[in-house]
Amino acid sequence: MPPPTRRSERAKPNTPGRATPSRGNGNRSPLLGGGVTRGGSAPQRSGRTALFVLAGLVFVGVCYGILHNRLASSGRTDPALDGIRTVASPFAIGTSRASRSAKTLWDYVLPGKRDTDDLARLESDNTRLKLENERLRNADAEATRLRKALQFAEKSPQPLLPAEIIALLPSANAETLLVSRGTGDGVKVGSVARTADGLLGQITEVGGNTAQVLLLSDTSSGVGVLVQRRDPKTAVVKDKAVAVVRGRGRGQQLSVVYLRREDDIRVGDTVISSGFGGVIPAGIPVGTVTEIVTEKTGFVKSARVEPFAPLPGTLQEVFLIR
Amino acid sequence: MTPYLAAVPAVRFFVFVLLLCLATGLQANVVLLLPHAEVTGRPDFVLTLCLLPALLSDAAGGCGWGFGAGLVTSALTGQAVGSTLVSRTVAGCVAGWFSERFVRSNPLVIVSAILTGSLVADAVYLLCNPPLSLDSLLAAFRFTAMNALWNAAFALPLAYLLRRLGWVWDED
Repeated sequence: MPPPTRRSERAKPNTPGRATPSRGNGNRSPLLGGGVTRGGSAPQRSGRTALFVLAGLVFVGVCYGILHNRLASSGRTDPALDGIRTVASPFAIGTSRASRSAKTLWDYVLPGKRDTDDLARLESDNTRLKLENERLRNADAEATRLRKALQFAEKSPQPLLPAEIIALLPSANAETLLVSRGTGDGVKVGSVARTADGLLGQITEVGGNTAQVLLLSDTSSGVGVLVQRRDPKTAVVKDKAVAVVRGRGRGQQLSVVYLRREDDIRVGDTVISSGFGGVIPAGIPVGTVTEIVTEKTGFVKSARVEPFAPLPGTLQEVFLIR
Repeated sequence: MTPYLAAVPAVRFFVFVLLLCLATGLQANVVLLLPHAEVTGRPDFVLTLCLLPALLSDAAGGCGWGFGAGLVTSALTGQAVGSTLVSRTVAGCVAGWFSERFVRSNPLVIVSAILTGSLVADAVYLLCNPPLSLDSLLAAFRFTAMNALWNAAFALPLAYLLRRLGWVWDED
């Protein structure tokens, strides 16, 4: 492996030209040799030019970011980004399916694995039963509350729209997913994304065929929640506190904030969405309280919550509530 | 791909776009399955793939590649658009600057450029979107460093792949 050398030490002619087939001149790296070579390198521009280009593109980037945010906040679609998504999403979905097929094939090949068809069926049944169980538990809790009240309003179950995950944010500091449903499927900004286990996040941008999900674990994410505890003797679920769950970043537990000092919160309590904001439906499981943190001032406290839904973990499919 | 077909810039660019789409799919499906990713970090195929053509250019050209990479990344991964564009543009500039200064086909230079570019891209992104708590900041730093190492590890295989598809690291 030749050591890196200064370009100035090489003093070769720099003549850009048409690409030509390789003639095997032996003037290439051993690792990257072969194929075709250009007649010369790209024209070397001055440092000042590079600086101007950098400043210009950074300025354009900032302006475009602001424009994009304005479009998103007004519920409109960014045509440029939506165009790129529309072109690229079939490839991404294809890769996604190919990857799953490869995994399925591997499961067949690998000895000692359970029959894949049975496994898929059982997983599907498990998902359906989890959702049904959760709905029944919510209905039970709701009925308990309503028996104590004078008014009663019947709620219909929320229709769920399954969606494939196209892309996961690969970089640090933000937590979003891209899913394979868009305005054509009736998805809109504010729609809720969940798994069979619990709340996952909320749609923040929608294109024609894709939508972006802001995960609960994102630091800018916030959801109104109820903290509940089931009485082991009577099996009655009681609301213990009203608060807000915030994300703390990738790999971190969620944080329940705005708890009052007198709120009776314990480790093991269940956190569900409150529905008070009118955006996220009530009763979707969020997580379990794992730690209570009392602030130094002593007036408020917070709690750490382990989310039910893997964030993002081994997610393959999510459900959208339109 | 035949050498004559690969010599056509439009064909090379189209192949690159296809690769980018595949990289996004891999990012969503393979990288997602890595266990303990919050500790070990994850490779960023999209960023690595976009920084490699920047190595074939100079600093100004690298800015352009970085900007394009930012546009595609923000479209396909849903990152904050402005921050992504700025961070990728700066990272592309750094990669282009590397190629101006050193022999770009040297494997060591390619790995170093991708490592530095990845660090710069995530650092600028963090600067644009600072975490709210010290814990999150430290976790983001750790994650950034691990991501950069992953990207550096995948730089040479991806560079070799691009080379086979007609993108050229010549000796100038």
